[in-house]
Amino acid sequence: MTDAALEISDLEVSFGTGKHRTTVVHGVSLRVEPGEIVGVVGESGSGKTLTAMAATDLLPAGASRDASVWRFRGIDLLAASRSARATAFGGKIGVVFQDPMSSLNPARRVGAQLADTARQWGRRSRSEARDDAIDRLRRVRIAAPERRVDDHPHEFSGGMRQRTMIAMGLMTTPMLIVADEPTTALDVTVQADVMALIAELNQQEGTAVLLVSHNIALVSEVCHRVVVMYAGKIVEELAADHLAEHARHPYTRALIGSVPTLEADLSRPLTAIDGVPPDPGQLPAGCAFAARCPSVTDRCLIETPVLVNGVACWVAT
Amino acid sequence: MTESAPTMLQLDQVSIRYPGSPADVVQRVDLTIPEGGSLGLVGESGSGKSTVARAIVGLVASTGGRIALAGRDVTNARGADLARVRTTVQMVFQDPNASLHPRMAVGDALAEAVSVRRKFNGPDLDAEIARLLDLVGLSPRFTDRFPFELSGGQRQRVAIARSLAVEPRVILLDEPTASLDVSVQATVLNLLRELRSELGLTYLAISHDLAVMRYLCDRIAVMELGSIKEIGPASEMFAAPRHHYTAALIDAVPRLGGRSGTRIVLRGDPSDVADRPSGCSFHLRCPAGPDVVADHERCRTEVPELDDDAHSVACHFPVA
Repeated sequence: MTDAALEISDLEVSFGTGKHRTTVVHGVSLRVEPGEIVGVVGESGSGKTLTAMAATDLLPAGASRDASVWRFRGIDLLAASRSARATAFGGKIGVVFQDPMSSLNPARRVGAQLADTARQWGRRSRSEARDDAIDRLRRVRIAAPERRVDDHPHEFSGGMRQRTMIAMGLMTTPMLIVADEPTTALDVTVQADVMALIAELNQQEGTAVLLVSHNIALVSEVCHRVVVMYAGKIVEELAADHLAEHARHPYTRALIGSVPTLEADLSRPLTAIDGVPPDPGQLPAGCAFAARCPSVTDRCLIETPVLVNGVACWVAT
Repeated sequence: MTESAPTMLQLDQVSIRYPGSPADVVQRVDLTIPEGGSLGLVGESGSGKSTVARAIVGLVASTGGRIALAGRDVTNARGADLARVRTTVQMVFQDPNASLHPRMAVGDALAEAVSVRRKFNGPDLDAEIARLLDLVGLSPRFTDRFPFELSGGQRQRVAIARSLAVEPRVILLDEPTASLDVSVQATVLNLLRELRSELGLTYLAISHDLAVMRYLCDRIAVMELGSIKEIGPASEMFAAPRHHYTAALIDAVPRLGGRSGTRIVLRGDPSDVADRPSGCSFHLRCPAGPDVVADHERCRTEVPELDDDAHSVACHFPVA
């Protein structure tokens, strides 16, 4: 068996220490194979972003990580020092966040920011790095890149900025791109463009992608495999093309039913999930979804379901 | 709603130019919404869709054309006329965090809005607040809560309740669910549909999400760079779009389980109104534009007008 691009097992993410410690991601195991696109779907507060950030060593200050396995391209990161981890990830991972304006330095030219990556991790000279920047901007379909490379971020549209972030990830040859809600701030047409670009990179370069999104339809379109999170846990894991017809967890099904689509029957209301998710730091006994679940049984209120054959549910068949 | 329902909102050749702007951000827009109707304005950022809504409630001045509300000219209304517009038309914005006062309890926010309509005494006011909360599916317990104690969906319900407090006849919904999680979006969309039929409200909804629009509206108008490119019944628009831009917007909506066939790719980014292309403003990005189809040269020079069809399109070479 070849090494996974990224692998983490029994991940717990907590905030605070001692008796103020609150755990918000509970026992999540995630594996992204080389060349695979994996989607992590969930609502606000489901822990999807913290899971992706913990796996890529990008947790915010105050958050701590605990795991039994943590590897990137086969390199054990659990035992590695912070700088060793930075070397392991450096130049091998591209990260795209929701809001490109807050990821780019507004005071510096786009090309200079792209060149930083190549200079840091690709050991390229200043002029080589600039040529690389122009090449990568062209690759992400920025028109007239020779001229645009000297623009400041405010001169770019939202879609161009997000494509610039992807270009930044491509300055070296990344093995994995982590994209956290990469298109939420964008128009649908631009969203489709950015997703097509990510899918194209995956097909042409074999880059693995970890895509975090609340949009289950978007995820189903580009991903090979989808992981559904609820209240800090994985509730279901399935092939993306099984999502529409073969989802088994009541939460996954409700999530699918709640999305307005171009095909939905307009005479019927959308599936509403009553109530709100529990605080992932204070999970109730039993299944965290039980209070909102249409198929709840007595067992669900007492025993916590574990992930078996891709689903964590006592009722799902 | 029947075909003969009286016109509630009418825009006639409305143009809007911001002070200091070199070009109109909204160009000669015609819209008619009958009482109880629901029209969706769709388009990308910068298409002018929100500006149209803002002009209706007097948040921006129109620089040409006429806006009529229930048969009354309200173009650039001021003073008492503007106050009347704003009790007839209410807006619900995208982000309830920004539209609710963080230090005002839900009950107080509703009481303030109710007082615009008429004075209630204590017990009557409580009953009125409870009625408004009930309309949006919240219990009277929420009266004493503050916005930070509410979930995103509950906040948007409160914002909707507050807009209903003046008993408006028209609600302008500006991306009403864009900041919400999908499961919460579903409940808010269901609520908006119920309220419309229960209270006989007229909606003008704005969104770039066509699936949301299809669910909420019976007619759709597609805006691009300040003008309407296509307008017609929602069912026809989604089944058979006539403008290439509409077809691309519909095609860009993610499909659960993946798409079949190739995607319609628009070339380049949306143009800017300050730099509006000549002829058809969409011709530079159009998959059937003059750069793609040799004998479509007239798109570069001639501005297409909306045709007279009930499902109307402004295109020299509409989708077959």
